[in-house]
Amino acid sequence: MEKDRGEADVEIPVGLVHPALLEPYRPRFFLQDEVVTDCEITLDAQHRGIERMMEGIPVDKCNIITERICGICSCVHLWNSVRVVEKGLNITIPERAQYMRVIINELERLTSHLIFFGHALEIIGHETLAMRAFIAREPFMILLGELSGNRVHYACPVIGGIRPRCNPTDDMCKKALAQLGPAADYVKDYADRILQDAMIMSRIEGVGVLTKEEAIKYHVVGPTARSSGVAKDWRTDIPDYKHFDWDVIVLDDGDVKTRVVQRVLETFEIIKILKQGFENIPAGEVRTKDWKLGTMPITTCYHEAPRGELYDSYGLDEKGNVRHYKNRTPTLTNLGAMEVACLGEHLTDAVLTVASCDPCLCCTNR
Amino acid sequence: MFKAISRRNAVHVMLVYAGGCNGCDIEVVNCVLSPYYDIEQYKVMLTWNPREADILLVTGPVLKRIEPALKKIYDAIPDPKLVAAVGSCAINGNVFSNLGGDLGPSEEIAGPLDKVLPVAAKIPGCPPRPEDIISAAASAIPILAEMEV
Amino acid sequence: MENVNFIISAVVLTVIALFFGPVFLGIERKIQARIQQRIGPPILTPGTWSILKFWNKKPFTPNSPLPWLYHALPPATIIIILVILWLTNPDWWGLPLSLSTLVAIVGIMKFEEVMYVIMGSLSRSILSVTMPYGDVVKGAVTKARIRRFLEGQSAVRFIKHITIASFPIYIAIFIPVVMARSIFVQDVVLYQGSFLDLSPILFTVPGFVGAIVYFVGYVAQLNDYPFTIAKAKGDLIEGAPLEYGAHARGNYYIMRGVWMFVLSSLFVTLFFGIPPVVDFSSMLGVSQLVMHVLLTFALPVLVSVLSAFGPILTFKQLYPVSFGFTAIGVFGLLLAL
Repeated sequence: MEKDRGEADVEIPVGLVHPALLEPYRPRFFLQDEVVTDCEITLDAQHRGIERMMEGIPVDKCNIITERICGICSCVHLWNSVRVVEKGLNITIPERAQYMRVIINELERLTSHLIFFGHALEIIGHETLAMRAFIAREPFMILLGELSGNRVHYACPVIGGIRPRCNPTDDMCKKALAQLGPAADYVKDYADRILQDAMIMSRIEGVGVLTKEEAIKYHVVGPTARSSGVAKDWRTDIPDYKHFDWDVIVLDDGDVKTRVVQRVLETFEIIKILKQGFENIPAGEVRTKDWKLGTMPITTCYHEAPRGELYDSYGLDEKGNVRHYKNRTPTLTNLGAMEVACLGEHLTDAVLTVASCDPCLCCTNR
Repeated sequence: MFKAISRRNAVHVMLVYAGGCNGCDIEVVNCVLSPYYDIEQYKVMLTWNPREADILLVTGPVLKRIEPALKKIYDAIPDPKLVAAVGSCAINGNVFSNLGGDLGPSEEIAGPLDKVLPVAAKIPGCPPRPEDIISAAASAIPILAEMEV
Repeated sequence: MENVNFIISAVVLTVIALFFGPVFLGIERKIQARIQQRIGPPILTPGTWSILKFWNKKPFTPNSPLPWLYHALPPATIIIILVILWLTNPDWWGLPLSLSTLVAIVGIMKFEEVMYVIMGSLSRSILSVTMPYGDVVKGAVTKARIRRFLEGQSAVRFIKHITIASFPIYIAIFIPVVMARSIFVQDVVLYQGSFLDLSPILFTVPGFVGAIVYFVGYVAQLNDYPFTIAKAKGDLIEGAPLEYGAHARGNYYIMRGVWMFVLSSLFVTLFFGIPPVVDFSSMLGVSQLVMHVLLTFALPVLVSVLSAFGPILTFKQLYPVSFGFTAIGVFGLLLAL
């Protein structure tokens, strides 16, 4: 079902610097009175040419750069890039390293979702609850800093396992588990507070609807797709997550409220995974050195970033240098779908709709 | 009238993302928006309007695509004004201008920032901690207060 | 001596408004900060010191088709809205102007609202259309006829906003009028008794309903959260005043503060029956002025609590909210009959 991209009187270009967009990109909204009849999003502002830089670079250095593709989901970029080599050269990694990778990645997903709540509420205009999102987020940031040594670029996975400094002692695991309880309770109270606020609900309910057909047509991925009824989560295919008991959250309505609720419910699943992780983490080595770099054909890996499907593929030549690096991030398709989802909305709601897929332009432009 | 004292007591900062990885940006927003750090208690307020700003915080390696916009925004800030480079990318280009394979490092970068704008403060780190950003803002305030104009 | 008195009181009231207006901005920010569980800026920082700082910046020519008019709008508005404050002063009641009526005050209030429309249509900030970024291909078909600046959209929204969201405050202003059976400020104040033997309209049923509606109208007049659609940070950044910088931004801040003070003062005059008397010859006169200024703090404090918990209302919510409170106001009017 194609939505009508109708005639427009006025064009409002927004960006590059804007409080609702944060990152430099430029949506152009075509309006009739105040209703958006067409939308066009120009993306190239943050193109750094990362894929071009990667050609012929040693794979260790490549991993330093992949981590800096994005500062919100840095762990998953690094992990997926490492997995490409591990898959291509058949490296099996120790179980403790698998646990640690999942823990760091899920903590990162949690902070990313909490930023989303903060950002969405900031656009709605509710500064108080936006700030509460950052209160809820800070314990997890501190925990990440203690576990990995950096608040944003954790540099946790390396080929064959994890970096030894990310290996927590038993005391640290116990302490983290103790910290997790109150922080999770705060997140729960906070989520309840959002979902019970009538004024906020009236702003986000029924806004920016993306039906399941549209979601499939535009290949929407990640939480945005799961809140339009498309059940796809790449974490179910990844062996490291087999140690954990968790559910994929799928909701059907596809409006902004559903996208918020889906992430709220996903947050609780993340906390479930984290608790299991800190409780059951096995002892042992965190890194195997039982492998050698060599020629590797082009290998493809998928992973679930906080915003959806992440794709990495490259091959190695005989010296262990990267060839034909390719990377695709979730926001590209999500934003394309949001161009459609925001049609027929008021301008203020359209900006909210575009932001409700949690766009991350630094990944998308690379 | 009350020139130095008023400048010490009210500072507006503006944040421009110049093509970084979002890490620095989130940390800057974190130390402004998060009650945990709350930069407003040090009399520093965040604004998104260059006409209101005193200090321009720039993150990221200043891409060629963003450079003209960044210069325009800098021009729009009324004097006196300062520019602070937040994070390694803005200071020296970080991995983007210093790592590269057969084809060399990235060619999309016009930075580092001091090639584009006069930089008064540099906040190192990848990303800098919120504490560092707050202390840098606090140390930039006296420079701003003593400026002519 | 009558002539001298009204000039003195106008000057004194102007000084009070110019001092307390910016302080209100700081109080608003501080209360919001405490609700947000943070320390927040010192009370003088968002208002007073910011204004002084902006005045000490280097003046520049704004991007505007009529720079002088754009810069002249805030000072002109400050003077015009101060007239409301003067007209409620007892020394001005006796002047042969016949302007000390609530009809005249409503007329003056309209000016402040229309001023934003002019402001929005004169501003050309670099943050939207003129941002140097190649998103329009030469020769390509453009869908829309006009590329509109954010401020232009803000002006369009202000027209809608002043049509809808001003009803509550006007209805609320006329509840005391109906109770006192007179449009003269003098009669409304005298209806509530003298200062020592006060029976404020606020503590009657219609008066209380009126006060609630006045409060909602007050927030809408200030364009504060949640009635900030015309200056919504989410899409218009700041709306009409985007291009004010340096001393002009200082003037704009003052205008906002003074408008806050003037509307609070009008509320105290109408609903508490305490006009802004300037009479330093007796203790009674001084204490009346002090009481008046203290009571003006009530509304800004309540506004900051409301705005800390309110998201921006789009027109979808604005119409029902505004009409709902107008209906409550009409109910109050019927009670007052």
